[in-house]
Amino acid sequence: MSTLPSDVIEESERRWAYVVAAVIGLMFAVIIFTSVHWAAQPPSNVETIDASRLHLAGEFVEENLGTAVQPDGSVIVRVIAQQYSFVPSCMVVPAQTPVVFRVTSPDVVHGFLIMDTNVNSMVVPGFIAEIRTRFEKPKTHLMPCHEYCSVGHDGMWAHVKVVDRQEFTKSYGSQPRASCAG
Amino acid sequence: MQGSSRLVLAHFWAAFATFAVAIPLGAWQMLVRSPLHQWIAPELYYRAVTAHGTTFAYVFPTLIAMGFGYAVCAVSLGRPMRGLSLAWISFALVIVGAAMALATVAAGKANVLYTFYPPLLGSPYYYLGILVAVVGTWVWIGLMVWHVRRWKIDHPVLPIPLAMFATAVGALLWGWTSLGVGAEIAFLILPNAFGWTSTIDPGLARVLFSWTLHAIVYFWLIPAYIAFYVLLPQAADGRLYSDKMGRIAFLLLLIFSMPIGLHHLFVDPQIGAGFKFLHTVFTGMVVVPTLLTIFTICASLEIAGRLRGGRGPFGWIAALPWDRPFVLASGFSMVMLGLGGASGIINMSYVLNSTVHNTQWVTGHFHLIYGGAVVIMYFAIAYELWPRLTGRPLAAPKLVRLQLWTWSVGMLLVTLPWHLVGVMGQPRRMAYYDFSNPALASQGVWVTVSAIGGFVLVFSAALFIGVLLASHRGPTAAISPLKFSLAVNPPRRLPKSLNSFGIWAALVLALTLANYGYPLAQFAFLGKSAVPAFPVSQNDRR
Amino acid sequence: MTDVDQPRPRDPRFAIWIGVTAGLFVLALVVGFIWLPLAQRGADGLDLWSAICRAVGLPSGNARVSAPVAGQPASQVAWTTETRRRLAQGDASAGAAIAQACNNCHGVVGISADAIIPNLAGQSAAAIYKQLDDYKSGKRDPAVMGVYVSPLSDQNLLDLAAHYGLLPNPTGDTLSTQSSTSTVARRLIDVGAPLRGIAPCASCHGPAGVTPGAPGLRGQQRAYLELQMQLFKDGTRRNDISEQMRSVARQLTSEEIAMLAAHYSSIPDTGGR
Repeated sequence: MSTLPSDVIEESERRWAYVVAAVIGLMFAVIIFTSVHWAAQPPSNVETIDASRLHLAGEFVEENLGTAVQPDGSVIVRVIAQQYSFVPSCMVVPAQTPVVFRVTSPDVVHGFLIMDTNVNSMVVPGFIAEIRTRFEKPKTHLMPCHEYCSVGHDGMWAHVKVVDRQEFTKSYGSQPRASCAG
Repeated sequence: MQGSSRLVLAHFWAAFATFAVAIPLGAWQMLVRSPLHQWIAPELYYRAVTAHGTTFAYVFPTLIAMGFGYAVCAVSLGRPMRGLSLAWISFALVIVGAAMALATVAAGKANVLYTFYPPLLGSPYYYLGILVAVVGTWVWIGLMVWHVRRWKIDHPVLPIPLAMFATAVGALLWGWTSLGVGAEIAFLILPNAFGWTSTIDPGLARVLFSWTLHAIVYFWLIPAYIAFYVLLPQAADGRLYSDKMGRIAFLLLLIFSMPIGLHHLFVDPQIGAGFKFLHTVFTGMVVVPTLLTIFTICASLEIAGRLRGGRGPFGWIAALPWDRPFVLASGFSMVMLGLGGASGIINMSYVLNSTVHNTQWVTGHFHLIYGGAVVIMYFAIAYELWPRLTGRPLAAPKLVRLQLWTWSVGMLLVTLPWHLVGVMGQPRRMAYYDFSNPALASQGVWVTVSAIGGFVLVFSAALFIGVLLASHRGPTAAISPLKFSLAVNPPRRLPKSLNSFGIWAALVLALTLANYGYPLAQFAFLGKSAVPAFPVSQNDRR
Repeated sequence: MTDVDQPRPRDPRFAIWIGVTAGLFVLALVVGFIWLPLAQRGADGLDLWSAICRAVGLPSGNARVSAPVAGQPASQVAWTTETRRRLAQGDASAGAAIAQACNNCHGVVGISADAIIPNLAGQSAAAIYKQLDDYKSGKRDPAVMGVYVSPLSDQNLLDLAAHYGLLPNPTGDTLSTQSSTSTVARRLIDVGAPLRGIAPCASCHGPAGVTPGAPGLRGQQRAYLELQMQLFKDGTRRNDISEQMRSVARQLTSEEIAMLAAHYSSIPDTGGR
């Protein structure tokens, strides 16, 4: 052991410390870079709502659920996640258009995940989850609930149908709140 | 172990008894959700998931950490443990609490999963059981801290032995982090379950749970890290590269593993993105102690390999005594830690998280780190301690190696496919998937692979229990007492910062306040987010 | 060995570590609360201050203040703490007196003699209360029931719900004589049809799980069940809050509805409660 005096050990540890600092620094740099230049960010919209009275009045009454086209051409999709379904159970959105999902729950915690995309959010009763995204290509995505919401959780799947913009205007443009449910 | 052998043995056997029940439950869950099995009514599935999760989150690792803590206390301080009756009271509390919680689960009254996110509500006895068990661990924390203090008073100049120093870090870390779930149960859930309050704020409950949810993993991990530092170098005929670096790593774990829990809530609506980024940064810092540990352990093993005649840049690896269970287990552990750590970096990333959040990827990640890297070290610790606790050599060394091999292979078979289907978007926590749908069909084969891995794990677990049982029946023999590895240059004196906890504990408090203060305080004025509870079972219906 | 008697070396670690931690914290604050919000304002056109507020999580930082929408609620009943508290205040003996008027159709013991009229015995009090209130407010077609319900006060409804909740469940001889062993029905009840958006019936209607206001179905009248599911399916009946039942019934075929009705009407409502 006499071949390894303390200063040799400490020197090697110092070199490793630089490596560690570089690894951590690189990780932060990548996170910040993608966040600034790709505007990739986790949802951030703290907004509360009275979960027990969603259906009585306000933004999440039945008539207001579904896809609403905004004056600027973007769409807002309002969704309720409840035991054990999403309403509407089939959402329709135009491709290549900014989409905002506003989702809340009248009962317990649910999850909002559109498969094959990065759309992913918790749905916490008492709060409105707001997720911004954009779908490039027409496709029907599966949308499971991804948080255990009691024993019917397994049956809680919905669909998100992304359609061509012209097709959207043609087939759904006349509905004030579009959906492909039933 | 100077009078505490029975205590340590009781903790380990209690832990492994719960393990022996919970492992087959896990394998059964993987079987029924795979294409190999018909769909089953989900209530039973969630009952099993709750039992599996509750055992492995709150009972099994806790008992291991406590038992190993007592062993370290007696061996490293070189004198008999005091306060044995308190230790037995603490043990009894954990057992009673665990039994209460698990009996409630078994009766189907608490299908809430181990994360029990309100406003989903199970029977109060489930939560009460967990609370009692947690309170039991606080007695252990007190005993560990008291022994360190007492030893320091008697030895004002000597460094606290590294193993005990690290055990105290684990105890302090758990004490601080268990307050989150403790407060959630005591102040939000139980008052509601007993009908004293009418609502629960689910956002607040999730933030409090996140306080515990991340650092609890490091509480599970610390016994494994202690084993790396104080048992592995010796098991490989080497010495610990640096005692100081070990202390720094454990202190960094103490500081950085707690105020980072919001990275579990990256896609939650009740937290602003600024705090999500803040916690990303500090989660990044918790990578540091693991990188330091990997360096120190690899260096220690290199010393061992070269002392055994290994040459060249990699020859020392081949020269290591891989036939020894402790060395073999550590090797597997490092591999799984590396893979699991890499997938963890995806989870903690502020931008990548949404790709994998709450998918099977996450389940894969924590099973690889905890079920793989950590639990295999629990096995190694048990193999190392058993002869010392029973006075009989370990039975069937070949089976021991087979056990470690099958555990690693099984765990990789389980978790790597989970990562894959997670990226494909498979949500976690489902009793069945409709693999007949074209969008899900390609996941079926991977779910099958992981189900097979589950049964490899059951085989390995049975081997493990079998070896331990057989060892009790073997002939007694003279067993060398347990010793901890010496450092290359054992410290004779240490600066205060590496031999005390006071200022570091204050730093943890300050950092917690800074990182959790506003996210918790905001619920005082956000308003109207509290909701009534939703009972999970039928009994509360009428 | 000599260093044992020397004073402990000065220890700069505390200062360095605390300094590094504090520095990291400040850096994270600047990036997380100023730089990233600035970069992420994107299409929202927030000013700097609003962007920072949003990053902190202050509700005032919300980009989108939504205008209230006029709607016709599916039901006036909401599962608030107040409703739950009041449900516990139903007086079953007062309810029994009021129920005299109901006995003709729903039976003296809450078991009806006509397959199109529902059994009420042992039914969830929350479910009965909600349906009575919906008849009263016209949210459920009041053609038959309206005349009976309209003179009743809210407390009367609660009392009735409590009364029927306490009557013994339908068992044995009161069941539909045609026993059903439909595997289709059992599958829908136990595991649902996930990708059609059908959760297991048992997860709301019991015995596996419970949701507020969901009635128990076992031992219910067959024709009544079939008709109600059909009404939900074609949207004629729409008093389920947020389409909780309509979204499921729309996905069911008429054959499945018939099989479910047959199955539920043939099993006694005894175990598992």
